[in-house]
Parts: sequence; C-alpha cells; structure tokens
Amino acid sequence: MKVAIDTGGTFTDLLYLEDGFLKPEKVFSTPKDPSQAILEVLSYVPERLTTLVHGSTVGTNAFLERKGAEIAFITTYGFEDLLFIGRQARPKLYDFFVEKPRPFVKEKNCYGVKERIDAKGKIIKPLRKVSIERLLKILKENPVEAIAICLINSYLNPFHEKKLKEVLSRLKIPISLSSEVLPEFREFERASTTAINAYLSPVMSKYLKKLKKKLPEVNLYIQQSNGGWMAVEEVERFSSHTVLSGPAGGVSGAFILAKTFGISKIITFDMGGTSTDVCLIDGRIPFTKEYNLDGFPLSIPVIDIHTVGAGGGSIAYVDVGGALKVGPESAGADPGPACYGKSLFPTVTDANLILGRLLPDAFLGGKYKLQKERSLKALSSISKKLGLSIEETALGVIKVANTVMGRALRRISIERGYDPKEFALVCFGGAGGLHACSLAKELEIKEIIIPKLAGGFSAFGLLFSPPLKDFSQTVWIEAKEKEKLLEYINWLQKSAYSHMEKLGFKKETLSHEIFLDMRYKGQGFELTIPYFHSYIEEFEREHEKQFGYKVKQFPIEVVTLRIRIRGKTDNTNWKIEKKREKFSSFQTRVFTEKGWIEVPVIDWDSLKIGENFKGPALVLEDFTTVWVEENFMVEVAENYTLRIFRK
Amino acid sequence: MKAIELEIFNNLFSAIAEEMGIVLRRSSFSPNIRERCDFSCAIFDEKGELVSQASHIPVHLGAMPETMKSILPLFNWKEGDVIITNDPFSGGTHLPDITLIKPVFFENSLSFFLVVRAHHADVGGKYAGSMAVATHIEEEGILIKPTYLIKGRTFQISFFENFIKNLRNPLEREGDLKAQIASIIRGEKRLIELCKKYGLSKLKAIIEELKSYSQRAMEKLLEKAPKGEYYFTDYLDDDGLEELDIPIKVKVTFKNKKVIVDFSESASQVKGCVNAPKAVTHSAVYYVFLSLLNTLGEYPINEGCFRPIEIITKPGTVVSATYPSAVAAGNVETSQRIVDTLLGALSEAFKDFVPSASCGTMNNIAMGNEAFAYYETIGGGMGARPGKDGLSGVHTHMTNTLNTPVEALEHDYPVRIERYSLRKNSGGKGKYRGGNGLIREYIFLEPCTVTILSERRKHSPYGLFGGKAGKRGKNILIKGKEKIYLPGKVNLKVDKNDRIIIKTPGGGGWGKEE
Repeated sequence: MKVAIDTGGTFTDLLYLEDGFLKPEKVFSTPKDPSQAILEVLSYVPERLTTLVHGSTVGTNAFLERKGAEIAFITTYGFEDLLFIGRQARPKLYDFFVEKPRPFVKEKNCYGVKERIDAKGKIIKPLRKVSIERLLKILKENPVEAIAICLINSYLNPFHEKKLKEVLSRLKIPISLSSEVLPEFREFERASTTAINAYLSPVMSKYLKKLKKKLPEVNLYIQQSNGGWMAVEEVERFSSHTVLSGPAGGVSGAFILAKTFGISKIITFDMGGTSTDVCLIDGRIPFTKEYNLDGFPLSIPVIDIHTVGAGGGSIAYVDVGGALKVGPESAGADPGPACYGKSLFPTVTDANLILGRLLPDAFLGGKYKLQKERSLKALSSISKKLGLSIEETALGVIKVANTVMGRALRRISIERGYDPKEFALVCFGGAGGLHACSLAKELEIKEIIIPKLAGGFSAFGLLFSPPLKDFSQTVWIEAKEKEKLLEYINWLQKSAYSHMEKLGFKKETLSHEIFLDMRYKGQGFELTIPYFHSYIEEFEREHEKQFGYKVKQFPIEVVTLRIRIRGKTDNTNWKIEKKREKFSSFQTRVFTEKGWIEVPVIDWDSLKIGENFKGPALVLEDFTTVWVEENFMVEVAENYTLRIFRK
Repeated sequence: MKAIELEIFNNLFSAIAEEMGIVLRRSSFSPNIRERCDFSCAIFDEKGELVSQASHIPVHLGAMPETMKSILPLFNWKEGDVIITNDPFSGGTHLPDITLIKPVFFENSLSFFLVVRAHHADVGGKYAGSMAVATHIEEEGILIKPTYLIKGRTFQISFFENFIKNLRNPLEREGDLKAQIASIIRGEKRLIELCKKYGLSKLKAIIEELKSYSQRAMEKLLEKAPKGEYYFTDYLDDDGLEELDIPIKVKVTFKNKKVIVDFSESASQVKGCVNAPKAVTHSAVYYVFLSLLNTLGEYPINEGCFRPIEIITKPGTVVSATYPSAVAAGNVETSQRIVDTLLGALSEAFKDFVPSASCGTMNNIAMGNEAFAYYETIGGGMGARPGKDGLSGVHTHMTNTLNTPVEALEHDYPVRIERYSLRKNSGGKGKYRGGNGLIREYIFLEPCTVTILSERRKHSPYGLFGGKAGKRGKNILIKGKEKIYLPGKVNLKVDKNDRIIIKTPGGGGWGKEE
C-alpha cells in the first residue's frame, strides 16, 4: 500500500487510499527527530506499507537554523568571496543597522584554484594537476563534510569542475558540481544553489538513511520543490531540491482538486501560523527560478509560491505614529497566541476568537480549549491606544492582516497581468477559512473552494504527485536559429532520458515538456515559455501580457533550455467518507462591520452533497473553521468540498 | 478607524509604486536598470507632494520632490501627457538619470503625478557612459530641459528621433524609455482603479492623514536630539582637475520638533564634475533622517517626513550647483560626502544610532568604444555601527545598485574580470570594526576609453569615538609589466590586455579597541 506523509511545523499528516476512500491520520510533529512522528502515524495504517511519498522539512529547517554540514567552497582564483559579496547590495535601504543574510559557509573553507574558462566556454588557463593535488592536501588537513564546486563560466564547459571532482572524490565525501546542479549563467546564483546543495546533502542523507533503516521494505520517495517526487538516492545527491517540499504538495493537491470540478484557473491560499503561502495556477503549475532561501538564491525550479509574514500567530501592535500593524513578528506555535495560555501576544487568532469566528471549545476537535479571557486581556492595551472598543480593535487587526494577505494575492495575479475575477480561490491550511471570504471580496474573486481535508492538505498532493525531474542548460542562441535550437533540444532530451533510465525508469512510462527561457537581446530577465512551434510569437505575447509592450525590431535570444520529465501518476480516483455528525446546528454571535449578528454554526460532517445554504454561517470541522460571510452562497459539492460563491 | 486605514492605504499606495518598479526592471535593457536596479518610482498628489515611493535608490527618491516642485508650474497639465527631463538644474540629479512624469486624471480633474527615474547607460557627451571628468554640463551629455515626450497621447516623434540619434546605443535607449512608459502606464491604471473603488475625496483625505502620520513620527525622532547646534566639516579629495580639498560644512540646529540643516558655508562650485545640484543635497539629508527614523519603526515615506526638516543651501556652491557646471559625480560622489558630513554632525546628538563613515564613494567606472558602452559601480566597507561591525563589500548610503554578474558582463562586453574579492583588513579597527572594501580587476579585450570617478583616495573614511579610519581606496593601471597609480577621477584610453584594479575603501571603526 502507498501512503503520503507530510511533516509540518505542528502536525505530521498521513493519507492513504483504502477501497477508494481517503483515510487521513494526524499526530503532533516531533521536530527534533521527525522520523519519530512518522513511525507513530504509520502505526495507524492497517495494511503492509510498500511505498511512502514523504514531504519533509528537514532540508529547509537545517538551512533556516544553519545546521547543515561544514562544507568547502571551491571556485576560480580571485572569486573566493563570491558567497559573501553576493550581489553587493544591502537588504534594506534606510537602515543603518541592516544585516546581510547569515552565512552558511565559513570564510576559511573557501578556496580559489588557478584556472579560467572564457565567456565562450574556451579554456584560456588550464587547471593544472598540481593545483588539484595541493587542494586535496589542504582538504585532508582541514577536513569538511561536503564540497561545492563552482568555477566561473563552467556552465558552458564543465571540464575543470569534473577534473576537480575526479581527484577530490578520494576524500569520500559528497561533492556538488555547479555544472550538474545548475548549468546556468550568473555565478553568484549558481554558486549559492550549489553550496546550499552541498550544505544539505549530508543532513538529508543521514535523515533518509535513518528512515530507510526503520522502514527497510519500503520504497521511499521524497517530494521535491518542483511538485514531483524522486527516489531517495537521487535526493541525496540533489538535496537542495527538497526545499519547500510540503507547501509544493499543497499546491499540487489544490490543482488536482480543482480539476475534479473542471476548474483549471486557481489561486491557492494556505494560511498557517506564522505565514501565508499563495500561488496562481493558470492551467499549469508555475515555477520560479528566483527562489530566495533565507537570503540566498536557490535557482532550481521551485513551484512559484509567494510567502508573506501574516498568519494566525502574527502579532498586532500600535506604532509610534499611531497606526495599527500586524506581523511579521509571530507568536508561532509555541508559545502561540494569547488564547493558547502560554503568552500574552495579541494575535490574529485572538482577534478571531474575540469576534466569535473561532469557537473556544471546538479548536482541534475540542481537544484544546482556547482561553478567550486571555485574548481580551492581550488586545485591551491596543484598544486603549486606539480609543476603540475591543471588538472594533479585533476587527481592525483582521482587516490589517487581510491587507497584507490581499497584497500577496495581488502580487501574484494583478501585478503579473492576471485578472483574479477569472480564478477560484482554493483555500487550505488551518486558518485560511476564516479569511477567505474577505479576501475574495477584496479581489473580486467569484468562487472559493475549500476541501474537507483542508487541515492536512499537503499530504493529499503528495499522494497523487508524479515522479518529476528538471534538466536545464544555458545555451545563448538567437531565437530564429531554429535548427541549432532543435539540435540542442535533442541533445538535452537524450541526456535527460538516459539519466532517468539510469534511475530505473522505463522510457515508455515517461513524458516530457520543453521550456525556453527567452528575452529580447540586452534584457536581464528571461521569460520561461513552453516550447511550441510558434515559440517566438508565444514569447512576444507573454512579454506584452506582463509588461504591456513588445519591440518588433529587436533580436530575441533563447538563453536557457529546460526539460521536465514526468513519470506516470497513480490512479487518482478517490472519495471522502461520510463521517458521523457530531452536533446539530446551533446559533452563535459573530462581530462584523454591522456589529454583533446571530449566525448558525454548522457541523461540516452533517452536510449532504448537493445541499446549499447562505452566509453568514460558521462551518466547523476538527481542524478547520470556515467563516462564510453575508452575500456568499455555499454549495456542498462532491466529497463534501465547499464551493462558496460570491453574489 | 483611522489607525486601521493608515496601514491599509499605505500598503495600497506603496504596492503601486513597487509594481511600477517591477515592470520597469523586468522589461528594460540597460544593465544599469535591469541588473543593478538603478531606478526609482514614486507617486505624488496634485499639489506635487510625495504620497508614496518604492524603496529603490535613495539618491533618486529624495530628489524627486525637488523635481516635482520645479516642474509642476511649467506646464498646463493635460490628460495623456508625459514629460521627459534630465535637467540637473530643475530638480534632476545628473544627465544619465532620465525622468518621466505623467499626470493622472480622474473624472477630468488632475489628481496625481507618477514619476519614474532611471539611469540610462549613455546620454551622449564626450565619453561613453556619460559619466566623465568634464568641466561643462554640455560636455557630459545631452541636457533635456523639461519637455513633452507624449503630448495629449501623441508621441513626439521629432523630438525623440532628434534626441536618440546623438546617442551611442539608440535602440537600447528606445527600449529603456518604452519600459519607463510601461511602468507609469501601469501605475496610472492602478491609481484609477483605486480612485474608482474608494472615491477620490476619500483617497485625498487619507493621503493627508498619511502625511501627518509620518510627520508625527519624524517629530518624535527629532525630539530625541538634545537641543542646540552641531557642526561638522568633511572634504572631497578633488574635482578631478586640480589637487584641492573641497570642504563641505554643515551646521545642524534642533529646536521645537524641527531641524535646520545649513550647508551655506560649503565650498563654492568647482570646475570639475563633483558639483551637486540642490536636489541631490536634499536627497542626502532626507536619507539620513529617514534612516534615523527607521530606528523607531517602519513609517511610510511621504511629504510628511520632510515637513519638520529645513535645508539651507547657497546657490553657486558645491552643494547647490548652478548652470553650466558639470555635475556627473555630484550625484554619485558628493552626495555620499554630504551624508558623511551630516552624520558627523549628528554623531553626538544621536550617539546610539549614528555609524562611522562608510566607504563614501560609489567607485564609478564607465567604459566603451564605438561598439559598446558600459557603466558600473563598486561597493565598499560600511562604517561600524554602535553595537555592530560594519558590513563588508556592500553599497552604502545613497546607492544600493546590484553588481552585474561577471558571467553576464563577460558574455555581453569585451571585458574579463580577473578578480572580485573582499579587500581584507581595509575596515578601520575599533570596538566595532568597519566593513572591508572590495577589489575588482578588469582586463580589457579591446581598446576602449575608461572613466573612473571615485573618492576617498586621499581623505579616509573617519572613525567615531576612538575608532580608527577605514583604508583609502586605490586605482591601479597595469600596462604590460608597468604598474601606474591612477588619480581618483580620470579619463583614459586603454589598450587590449591592459588591466585596471580598483581597491575600494573600508568603513571607519566605532569606539576604542579594547
């Protein structure tokens, strides 16, 4: 049997199919050793486990906490400080006390070797054997756990990097080559990505070995940041690809769900405790190559998820000028919002509790009682400063938080030339259901989709995601040189397929997509265009859509080629079981712009497919509460999914 | 609900300014704009007062209010107009910074102005890159007095063709200007959406609230300074023509929630190109106070921040240059020294907040021949802060442009970079150390002309409270086996395989080393 497990900050979620029905399980995460929670949650699975698709935060967390391996960074002589200089800019402008991102490589472990390749890929200074031997000796005397190698212009010619690897592999530690991890131009971005890869490899490898040992008979697959999984052996080599693996699962899941309703244009909205992730899908899951991991570029294809620092735990305060602010400081899961009983931080969750939108006795299925009196105490100092009633203050906190999230939604839609009116908002994660209607109003979104499994949705995406691997190469070709382009495409395709076959995939089970990174010659940013016969027109159309103009007489160049290889996805037939009703509907009071109003509280498990009802209403499930505002209409769709329409 | 609306609308306005920046950056052609982000976008109200700006380049942003002030009365504003200018003597900075201004009408009334300023790779003049050691503004490039680029939706083709035909890379200029236009059109679209949603009169009221909100915050900051007068003098190395120290003097007076910053005693304008237009001086002063304000929290940057700040300059001085003086380096170099001078004066009043001198120069290098023109700047060491070492290898104060990736540079131009590294031990010692400067070494693969505009080659970046000064910068030319030390500001011709090494200054230390 196949199961999917997503390890999140607070919960570890498991999901599997039994007789076509989805079965979820949930336990608290064990951040010190995530495998503990995995084994615990696996004990609920009745059948013998054969395959596990795992979304892991081990890599991301190791980086955020700078607990990766001690690595050596090797580059061309004269560029040893590459990772410290970065793009030479400071992260904030009007701030005398600004800091650079915290480094993850030690200065003393950065080495330069004498060699040079020019901008055409020609070797103009050969790498001498003595230089490599000398380096080997130094590294023997100053041992490290992994090595990253990134030489200038090696994306055009990997010869020197390979030579270095050949000799240094005598050290028997993992070596990441920039020409393998990311054969694309821009040395800092490539170096940073390669170094992150080397930094995470030993950590990931250790974790996966441990997991394998505990689950010896199981095929273990790891979800990657591109939304597909890869086998453990490949992930150990390309550990940087596991960053954002959980959130990527959520986005793929949202897309799968939306497609069951025939909808392919969606905006995903995943609101958690400290931050909110949003992603716009226009018929295809978008990816970015400009992802920034805690200050360092990670330029592999990552699902284009935009994150803002507003979540249920975001702290509200009044600044010196008298404005109400929310976040980015967060109370997190521990100590958590004031109502959790451990802190007095006035948070978004506290505001929702005060407004009656969260019910103190129904949180996490009633296992955890929220303390409303603490919320009132926490918000009272703000309400005094603003001269507003406590309810108005709470409403203000929600509005400001919504502004921050609304801005994130605008950024991925309107600012990129998409009209939110054409998209459905797919909302998951614990807290999103309380804010979805407001955001839909703000952006004039017509439909909201909330899955029954909103609380553990990433696992849903994992369960149905395909094996996926991305290949790329910077080529610098004039777009009109079609023959040359085809030659390159053929070559990259061949090498991609042979790589997949080496990993044990059968050619006939694989399919692929080709993308071109194109720009007007002279521009500094490329647009990624799916490769069709009419790729030039396609580029012009996209350029006009995003920037409002095209330039007729300008030459266009293809900078980088990309190939994405996809394996087969398992059967996606699934159903959600009808659960027993827990309570019958009752009335509660919710505070809105109009003051306190009477609102029915509905048990999600009592709803029947095909049923309709009007807002205002609160819909409750163990791990989610949905606040349906006035002028919204709910339709209970297949699998008890809520489709909420704005009037 | 005022407190809530402040935050909501501040977000809405700054999102528009930021979106304008994204459109410009992603679709422009000059490496200066696309890779180095040397541009800025802002929204003004119909009175010409700053409403919101995106965090781009400080030296532009502080200058734009001056631009608006001088241009507003010049035109009878009509829907569909776009004005173009780069005139340093009407609120501009230096010639390569081309500014577009578009009035935004809602329901037939003039409601906003959108301004976008970007540093173009070349605007003509004697030397490629239009950043040379010159003595007259006309030698530095083409001066565009404020004029119509688009008048009532009609593109002014004859003006435009006349302008670009004298430039080194007209197609690239055209692409960049198109990107600038795309950016203001996007801004206009968003502003009109906002007007439709909330109504103009509500927006106007909120804007006034936002201004007084920022004003209150700035006043809170100024109240923290002990009342009285504070003085400081710092020096520019030279004007690129003669060996002479050029003093910049400031007197700062705090009284009644206000500050008066008086530069009247600074040197008269000079022959070389280090003269700063008044707008640049305003930029530098605003930058310093906005950075100090940041120690109290994040506040919207708008007209309100500037109200409690009075700036006095004397026309015809190096901090308030008049036509026809050369100004290319006023924007990039003198602006940095104005910041150093003002910070020196404030170091007693705001002892816990003021850093020692940073590298104090943008280390500008422009190169080119008939086939190409390229310009870049190099970061240096940041001055040590009270409680923290200075950062190494970054741009400080009035600029924050990114470097051009070596691989992009080598792919596009006949230049190779042999070395790009931190300059070890160049930061001043102290309880907290100044940051280290950078070393960048160029090999030219074709003959070309090169201009270097740099500072702190003679006067080092100062330390504070017993901290040592940072190391001075060095410019070196290697011709075969010969090593030649170059002056701080120089135009020269280089041959194939010549090398230039730029070593940038470190930051000053803070406090006595223990």
